[in-house]
Amino acid sequence: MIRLAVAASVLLGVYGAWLLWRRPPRRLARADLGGVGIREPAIVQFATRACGPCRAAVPYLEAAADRSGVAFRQIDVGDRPDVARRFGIRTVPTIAVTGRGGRVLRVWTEVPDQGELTDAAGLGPGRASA
Amino acid sequence: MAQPVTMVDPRQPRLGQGITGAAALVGFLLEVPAVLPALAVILAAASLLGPRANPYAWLFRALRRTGAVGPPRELEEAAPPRFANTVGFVVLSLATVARYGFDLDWVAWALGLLVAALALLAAVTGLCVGCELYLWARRIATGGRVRGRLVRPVERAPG
Repeated sequence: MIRLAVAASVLLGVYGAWLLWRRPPRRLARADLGGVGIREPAIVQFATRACGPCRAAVPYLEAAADRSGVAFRQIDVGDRPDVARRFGIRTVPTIAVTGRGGRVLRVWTEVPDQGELTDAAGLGPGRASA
Repeated sequence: MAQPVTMVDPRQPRLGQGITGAAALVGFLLEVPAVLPALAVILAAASLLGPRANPYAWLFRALRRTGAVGPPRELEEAAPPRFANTVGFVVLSLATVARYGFDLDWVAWALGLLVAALALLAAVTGLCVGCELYLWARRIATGGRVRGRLVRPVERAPG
């Protein structure tokens, strides 16, 4: 029983550390992406070439951007480690929705629902008709 | 001239990580210390001799042949997971020495549980700490000239 408790504690500890590691970066949540050339409402994916989930998410994010009438942009943080450092990006994909001027409205560290994306852009069905 | 880069189906190292993690965990729970040297030998073969001597690669190829696993969507560079195997081999070797050389059970199982937890984390979430260590080391060694891990989409599924 003690062994089971120890194993469960270690596994939960590692899993907890992983969850902390992949929290949405606060610096990005308060950021303005105008400095990296994004000055319009957009869905932005921070990715690397090695990131399979990032590549798989591209058609989905492009479709969400098309539906919302915003741009879709990608930033390769493998090529731009300075951007990763500046915005505290620890994990890919990190996805952000920006508003006017490139102000970050919301951040995820996994691919969110289409509804969440469009709502965050302020262009969801309810708000678009308002 | 650039050297050719060995690529691997990313599901193969994840299968190996899952088996390694589960075996180390079960070994700890059932108090079977022989699992530590056994896993160390498997990871030593995989890391030092490459895919030809990697039992996990054999298993994965068998699963591919039976059709239980479909063709890959992409291939990734083989060096980072191979380095992760080397790290696992070193840690499990230390655990084996602690258990059989010095009778330090708690040290051996602490190291074994560390390997189990990180291997299971990699299998479940895809975050391979050993692979990340390799990439950090390579970035430092090359002064940032080689930045990321190489991944190639598979254009045409191999037969």
